Amino acid sequence: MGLEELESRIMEDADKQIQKIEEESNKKIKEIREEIEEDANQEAEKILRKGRQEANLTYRRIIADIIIKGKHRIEKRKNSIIEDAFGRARNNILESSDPEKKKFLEKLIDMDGDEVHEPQIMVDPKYANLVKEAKTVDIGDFGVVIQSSDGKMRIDNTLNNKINRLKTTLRAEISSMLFG
Amino acid sequence: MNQIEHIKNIEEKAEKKIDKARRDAKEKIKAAEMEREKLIQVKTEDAEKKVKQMIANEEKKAGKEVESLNRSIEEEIRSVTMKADSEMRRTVKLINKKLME
Repeated sequence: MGLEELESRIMEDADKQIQKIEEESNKKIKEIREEIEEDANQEAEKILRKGRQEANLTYRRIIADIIIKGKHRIEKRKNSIIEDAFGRARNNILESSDPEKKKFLEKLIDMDGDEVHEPQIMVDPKYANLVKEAKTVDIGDFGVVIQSSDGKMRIDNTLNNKINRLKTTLRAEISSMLFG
Repeated sequence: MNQIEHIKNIEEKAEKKIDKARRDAKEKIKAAEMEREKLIQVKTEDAEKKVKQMIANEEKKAGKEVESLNRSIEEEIRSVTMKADSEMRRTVKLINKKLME
């Protein structure tokens, strides 16, 4: 084998090795890129999956919120109408004639007077002329307060108090009448 | 002797070329590994943009539904008020009757 041939063989072998190194590195790079691509896609898919759920929840949250607010608004309106009905009933009494008011006060006394031992009837100064036997005390409302002589028992039959009691007991019936 | 030297030189030269090719390959692999963070960041940012858009779309869709629901609620309130108006007199009468009982 001549010198030139030997020289050429050495360089050819080297080129072959270099080519092999390049092929292997290219293969490795390709694998790395594919792996990175897959990892990145997985990461992105994770975000998208979570995002889809969040978007869906956002929609449902907005709708649920508006339904709840709507129900509250309807309920508030109903409550205001019920309050109005009680207010009108109260005004009916307060705007009635003196004989009618007197009749009402007497009814309030009769209603619970027997429940109390030696009852003392108290009425507001504004309505003192309507119940002669009553003691005039600032009770701040139309109606009567019935109190036993020893002060141990006291029944508050003022109009506000009576209405407040009715608001509890009569609410369902009133609601059914007004709103069906 | 000169020929042996010459061949040695050629072999060294070939070895250097191979070493360089190895170093280059190593560098290229390292560079490919370095692309990981960048690519994940790009894909992640792209996905986040898509998510923002999805949420905005759902909000828009819900907005239309909200308008319709609000109209139904207004209608319900009107209907409740009308029904109550027609029954108010009877109701007040009942309350007054109950107050006397």
